Amino acid sequence: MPAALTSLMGQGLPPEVPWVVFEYPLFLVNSDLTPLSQKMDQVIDRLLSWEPRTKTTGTIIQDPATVSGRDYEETYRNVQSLFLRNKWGDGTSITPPTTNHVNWVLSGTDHESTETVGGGSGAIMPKGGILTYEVLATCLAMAGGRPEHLPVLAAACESIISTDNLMFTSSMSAYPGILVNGPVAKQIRLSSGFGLFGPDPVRPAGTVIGLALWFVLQNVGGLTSGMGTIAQYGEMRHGCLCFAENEDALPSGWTSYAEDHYGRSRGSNSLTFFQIRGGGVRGFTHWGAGSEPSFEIEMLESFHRAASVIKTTPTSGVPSDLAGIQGMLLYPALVCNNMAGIGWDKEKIKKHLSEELFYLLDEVKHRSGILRAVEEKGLDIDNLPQRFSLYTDPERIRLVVAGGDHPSRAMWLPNLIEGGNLEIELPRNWADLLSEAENDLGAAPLDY
Amino acid sequence: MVKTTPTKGAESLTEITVLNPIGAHPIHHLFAKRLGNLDGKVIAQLAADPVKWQPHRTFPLIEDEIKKRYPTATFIPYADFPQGTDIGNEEVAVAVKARGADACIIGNAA
Repeated sequence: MPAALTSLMGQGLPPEVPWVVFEYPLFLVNSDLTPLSQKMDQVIDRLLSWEPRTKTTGTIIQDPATVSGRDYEETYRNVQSLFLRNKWGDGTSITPPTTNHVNWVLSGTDHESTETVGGGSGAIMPKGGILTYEVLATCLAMAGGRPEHLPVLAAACESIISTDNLMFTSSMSAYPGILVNGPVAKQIRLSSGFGLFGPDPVRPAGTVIGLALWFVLQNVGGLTSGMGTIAQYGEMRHGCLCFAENEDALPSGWTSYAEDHYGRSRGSNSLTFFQIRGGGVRGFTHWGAGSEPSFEIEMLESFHRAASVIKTTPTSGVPSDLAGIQGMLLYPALVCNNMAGIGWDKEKIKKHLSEELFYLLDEVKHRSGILRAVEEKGLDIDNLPQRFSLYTDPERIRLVVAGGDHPSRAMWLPNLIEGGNLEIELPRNWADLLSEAENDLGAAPLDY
Repeated sequence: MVKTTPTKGAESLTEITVLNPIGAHPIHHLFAKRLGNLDGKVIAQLAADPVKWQPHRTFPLIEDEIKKRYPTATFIPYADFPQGTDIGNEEVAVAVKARGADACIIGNAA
């Protein structure tokens, strides 16, 4: 569904629009505008003569679909084809969301199936489709989800109800992320360690919940690739990011992400929803050659490597936010404990890293628009600082203890926008759900 | 629901009924009535950015083309209104109506 139509639907208009199509190059610098002149009669016709099919306001209800075949296998394949023809899937096999299956997934909430997630309009933008718990469970069922995944997915979706989701529509390929704090993570088999971003058959919750989240955004929100969203590369949208902080392995005296930034108490279950606005995921090597005279030397040299990955010259050559563009820094617990062992706490780590993050005027002067900007504003370039700090506020570096417990690698998620932190609401039958999961999947892993 | 139905003679037919994942869609507003013609009409322009995606070139061309066909149509330039991503706000719509606009062109990629 083209972006314009999605956007109009999000404003509560009918799913139709009078349009005239112009190719992209028309809107670029020094473009040939002849196509616009040539099609003006069509434009005026749409302005003056077009009649919409929809004559009344109301709600368009989506009916179930029935697919048939000679046997179950053929019918199952036909379901896959239906979901792709309708642009409801993503190319992977989906679990057919039958009523029985969706009702099973719905046992993960005490809310009625017809209730809107979050209790308000339930609108997922930009298309403005209404997210009820039934639709939520449908998307989770498609992704292969189980009832115990529903509370985390519901909290994530509640974070995005009625937000404009503008970043997800743009070419920047912003993708969503979920960070979970609290014991619920291990209970539902959500990783805080090795293979953090998935896939992991022992800890499948992250992949499943992330995929379901994208189904909500795509199907209810209209963010269909190339149509409702012009994200050029999509980046981590396939499966999004959904992981937990490794709270049990935090260094002594360290507080969790939810404690630091949202005042949650240790042991409470909460979820931080975030977006990464283009920039993918950027790993860097933490450990050194092995010949360093001390761990501290190894660590200080590692910060150079971290900085080289985090540092990005802004488009104009001038940082748009002097405090620093927020990002999420993931270090495994083993590394954090080593750092803590030599007296480095979170604040010291962030402060030191922020001091490593700068660029020199000479690095960017001839490689960006800075000379044009200086001329436009009538400044003397010799009066500009020779060194620009990229992070005047170290708190813009958001540190999370997560990732496989190995000293080699760490991770930077750039251009972070946080969408808030919500409590994860567990249903009354939580213990029963976990017992059922143990029956089906075996004992939940306890290590991470 | 999965249903298998024996059919006369040959193999049985299996059906799977699946729920729709796209959610209901509310229609709160209908499209504005078409103007019929643009003679004597006042057309406002709104731009999200003065140059990005070339509104400084496309708007004048659209204006010229409309005036060729409807010489008595008049335009309120986008420079007279706020620009930026806030052009979708209610205050801007109120400002456009207050200037007596009968129609509005919003661009580009806004």
